[in-house]
Amino acid sequence: MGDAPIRVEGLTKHYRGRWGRRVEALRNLTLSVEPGEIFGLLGPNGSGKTTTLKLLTGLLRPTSGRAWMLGKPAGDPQVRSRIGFLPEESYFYRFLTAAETLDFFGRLFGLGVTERRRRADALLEEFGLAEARHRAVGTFSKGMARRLGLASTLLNDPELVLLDEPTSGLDPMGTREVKDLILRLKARGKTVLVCSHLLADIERICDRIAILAGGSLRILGRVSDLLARRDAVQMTVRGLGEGALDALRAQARALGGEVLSVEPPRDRLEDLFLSVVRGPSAGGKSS
Amino acid sequence: MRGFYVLVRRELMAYFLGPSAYLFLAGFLAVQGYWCCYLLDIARDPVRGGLDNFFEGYVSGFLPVFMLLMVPVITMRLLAEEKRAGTLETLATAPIGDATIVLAKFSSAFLFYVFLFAMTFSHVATYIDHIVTPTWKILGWTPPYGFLGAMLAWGCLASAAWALGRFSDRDAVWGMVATAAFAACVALLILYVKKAPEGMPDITKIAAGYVGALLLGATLLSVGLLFSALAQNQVTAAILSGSGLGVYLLLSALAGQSRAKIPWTENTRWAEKTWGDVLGYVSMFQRPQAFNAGQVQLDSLLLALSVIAFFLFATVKAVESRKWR
Repeated sequence: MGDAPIRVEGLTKHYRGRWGRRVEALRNLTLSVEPGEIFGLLGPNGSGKTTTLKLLTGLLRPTSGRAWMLGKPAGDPQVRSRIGFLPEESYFYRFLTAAETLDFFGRLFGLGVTERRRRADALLEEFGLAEARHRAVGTFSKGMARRLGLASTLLNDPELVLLDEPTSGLDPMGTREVKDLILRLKARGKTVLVCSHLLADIERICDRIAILAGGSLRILGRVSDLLARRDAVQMTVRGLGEGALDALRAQARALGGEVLSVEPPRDRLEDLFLSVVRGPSAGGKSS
Repeated sequence: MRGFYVLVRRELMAYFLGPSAYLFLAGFLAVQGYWCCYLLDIARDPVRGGLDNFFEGYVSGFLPVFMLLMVPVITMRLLAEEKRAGTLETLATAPIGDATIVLAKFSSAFLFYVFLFAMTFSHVATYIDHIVTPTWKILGWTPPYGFLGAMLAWGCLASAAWALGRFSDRDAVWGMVATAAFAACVALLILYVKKAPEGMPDITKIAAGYVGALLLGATLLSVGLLFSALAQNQVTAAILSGSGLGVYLLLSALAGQSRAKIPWTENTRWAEKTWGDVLGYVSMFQRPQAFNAGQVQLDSLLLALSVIAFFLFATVKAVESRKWR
């Protein structure tokens, strides 16, 4: 627990509503994120995910409870130079171009001019914005702005990355790229906290997840432990005919099992979409 | 300080990349130009005027009324627009504190204000060219003393601005070059004043007048910045700061008018003072006039600095308050 990149103890946040009415957004949240893991914070809209991230980054102050990031109290400006935070909506200065935007954030992070340009070029290339580098951000589509948001999040080569709905506004290709990116970050030893309500996105990449509902923590654990069904087993076999399948079913029943389903495995729609769009006749990256 | 320079640079870019700064500058120079011509007529008239009248009237003539327009226009966008566009949240996640953000916003507004006033050097130059008796000629050619001085003053500002830009990159060599250029401009300006021909007006009075105008501007800009932090959008911010300054202007106009004594001061040194005197201490008109007489007064300086510090502190608290919602 001592060197956990994120540690949260009894975090509670009440917002002040109209006429002084208190709205409870988060109740007594306690969790920690271990070094080098991808942690998913899941929940429906209004469950407290974004509030948690805002409390961690110091955009909000907790009503009670405490939080630490990289060993310092949440909101410490010095820690911000070691984290990358992608908020739910990416807000930029509309009159700056993509390259100027990254240059501006690079300056804020104290990067030298050569390093700033090198990283900005690499990130614009990585997120498919190299051709739009000299376009004003105000003319960007939502997906392009999201890609630029991701690029600016990684500009300072952060130790800890906080992503709030990172695939929001992205097409399936962009979504896949973000998931691949998160896995690459993990491979480089970074710690990633992802907030999303898109369960399929999270399931394949996260080591551990926490599910919030109504502002409180409902479940926390390893994805493999939480999703495994102990009472059933699934086999994927190639090259069996109908007769062999009948024999297998009979054998299973004879051994006391109950055959729940036998059907050909299906590709995931995301894989099918990507194979079609990225086929030989498809153009380059688009936004 | 790193974040401070970066933000000041961005804010100045935001001022100068849009058309509004140039429109505003044109309007300001047109009115000040008209005022300059009017004062020149008075200055040439031996019955009505003299040398000092020009500077006393020039810097502070339209200033109070201009402040009503200038301060809301310069400050309204600073924080209100950042809040509306969501970019304040983006800045708040960068490694800079709220105080740095507020200080950078204030500094950039003040630098823009300094730039507006620097442009009026050309009016001062016109005046000097009208009144000096040419005594120092180069091969029979009379140098345009006023414009030479104005060019040098602009040179000072430009090299200071350039130095600021270079230092933000922490490029030591270019920083030193810019500092040397700035020092050279200052040295030339001093030499120019020392070599001034007969009839040259007292430069210290002009400088003190400008210091007074800049102090008043800085004070009111800090008030405008607070309104920008409190408002949800820039139109509301402009209306709030315009109204606030309007009230201040009215109170300043009442300075010296009210003869009513201050109650409960019978046995104190305030016994002889009236409400008009009290308003006079903080009046928008009376403070700059003292500066125009060539005196940089310590009490005026302290008053301005403490008001600026108070309003900047309040602005930081207003920006921080979003975390407690």
